[in-house]
Amino acid sequence: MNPGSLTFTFPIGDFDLSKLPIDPALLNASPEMLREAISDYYADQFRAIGGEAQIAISGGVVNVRWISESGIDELVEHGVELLRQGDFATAVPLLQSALARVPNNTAVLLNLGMALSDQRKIEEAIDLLERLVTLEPESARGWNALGVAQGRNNDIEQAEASLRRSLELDPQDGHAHRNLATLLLEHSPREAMAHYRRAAELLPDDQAAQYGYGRALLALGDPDSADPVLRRVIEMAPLSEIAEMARSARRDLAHKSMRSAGGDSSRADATMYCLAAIQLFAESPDLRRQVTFEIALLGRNGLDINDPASKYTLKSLQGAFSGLQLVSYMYVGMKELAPDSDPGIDLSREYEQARNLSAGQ
Amino acid sequence: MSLNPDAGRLIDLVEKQTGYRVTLGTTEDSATDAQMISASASNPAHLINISTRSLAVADYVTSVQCVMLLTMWSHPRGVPQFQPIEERVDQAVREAAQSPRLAKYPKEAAATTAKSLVTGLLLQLRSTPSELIAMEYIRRECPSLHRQQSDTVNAILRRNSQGLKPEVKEFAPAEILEKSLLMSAVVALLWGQISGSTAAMLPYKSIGLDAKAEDLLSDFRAAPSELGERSQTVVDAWAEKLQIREFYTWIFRPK
Repeated sequence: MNPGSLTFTFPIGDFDLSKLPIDPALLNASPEMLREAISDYYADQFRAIGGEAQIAISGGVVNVRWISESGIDELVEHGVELLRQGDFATAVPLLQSALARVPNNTAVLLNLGMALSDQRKIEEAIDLLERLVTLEPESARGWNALGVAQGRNNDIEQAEASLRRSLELDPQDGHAHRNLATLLLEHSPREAMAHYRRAAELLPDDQAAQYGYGRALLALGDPDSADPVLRRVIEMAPLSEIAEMARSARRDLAHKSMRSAGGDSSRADATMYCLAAIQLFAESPDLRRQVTFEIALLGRNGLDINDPASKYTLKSLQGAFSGLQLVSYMYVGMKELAPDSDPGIDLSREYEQARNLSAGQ
Repeated sequence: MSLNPDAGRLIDLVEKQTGYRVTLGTTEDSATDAQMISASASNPAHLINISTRSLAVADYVTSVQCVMLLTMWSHPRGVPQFQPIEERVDQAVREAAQSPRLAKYPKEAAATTAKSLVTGLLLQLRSTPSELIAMEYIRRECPSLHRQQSDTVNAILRRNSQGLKPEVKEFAPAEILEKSLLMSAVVALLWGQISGSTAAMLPYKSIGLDAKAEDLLSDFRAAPSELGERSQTVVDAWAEKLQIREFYTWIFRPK
């Protein structure tokens, strides 16, 4: 075998059809099209790293042979890059094949171990990561990855020991602090909090670390400290799944605070704001859409509904408004424009009361 | 706001060229990757809401919407509005409902399906040229978005290819289905030329649509380079060839 070549085979049924630009039902109905599409997919993958790729499909088995122009290192790099991009389906067989050629390559052991762990192939992952820390006992990242895999395997004691070992080797690894915190949260919440805090300090730009810290503050009953952390999580990457979770947590928090301020009954101030909005929109229907739209835009990252200060202004309406006032206007506008929409806060009691008041006037 | 630099640059460009802010948000609606409302006298900003289903490719989806805004707002006559002509569309719906493939169903179901197919075809005609413009523009100008572009375009192509499933052929009138598949084939063809991956065209080749798709793509290539005029010119050229030009008109809203 060429020193820079490798071959891997797998049953065609194992190929992730969602990688292809054709509906799976059409591919399954046409074996010829399926073969061509898979060949094209691997030709495309290997085009990126050079060398020559030969793809053969027969008897339900895909056989990929790649002959490199330089060496196997670039293939490993490519596999790691694919993992970074989330393309596990391509990266895992590639790295498995590379590992057969270079069984003690620590980069392959670490990255393939983590990928298999993420895919919940835990036993295989632990096997590779244990091999890694045997070959390289000072690998903090290796112990960290092993700890995560052991945690996923419900081997909590081993996981804790591996993560603590990782932190002994590298106390500045924010990811290891965060992983240990997650493991400890249930039985040692105070120690968990210290690790979450440290992770947030070490990874100031890591949205997941900041979110974990914010959630931990909430779980430990410190909403005042949690709210600014969650707000920052949203600002870091507003269009992300973590930002959505932070928004949801902030909405719950604001709602809870508002309800507890009103003794869990209707808020008279919100009722009056709803009434004012009903009257305003009845008198000036053109304003309904403009005002509602503008408040919705303004409120994307949360309006402070628990601060009574009139600190917000609108282009479409004169004056200064409190957060609760604007949210009440938006609630009424949305209910009148699209009754089935979700305004993100429950003012149904206040809205109902305001409607009754308006009808009686 | 922490966005990919290429996406951030496109947002800045939209704000500079249109004079309105771009506001980004999310939506639970998963029918499309994004909803976009262009600014107007009653909307003080452009609003782009990304579907929570598409957050993993939010930078690319945002960029596509920005290029679409640039396209809409760059037409010298104003912001073009594609306006279906109701009587002509209604007539096409009636004809489609009576086609052999739909006539076998209860009248009401046939009428509803026919309406959805005809309006869907017009929507595809209106949007495909600007999608192609965005696809090319982002490939050329935004190298950091190539990976997200591949993922998103592959998903769109996969969705488009569902039109080739036998169950669709069971009810969709042949004339409408072929026009729709032809426009989908153009998307696949252009993507193949941009990315070097030829798989997307396989299903369309298998039913002999490749030559016609080449022809429509040549209209796209021959259209003026200025974005707004290009989109409108291609829509009209395709509509002539697909024999649906009399179904709509253009009106131009002042910028």
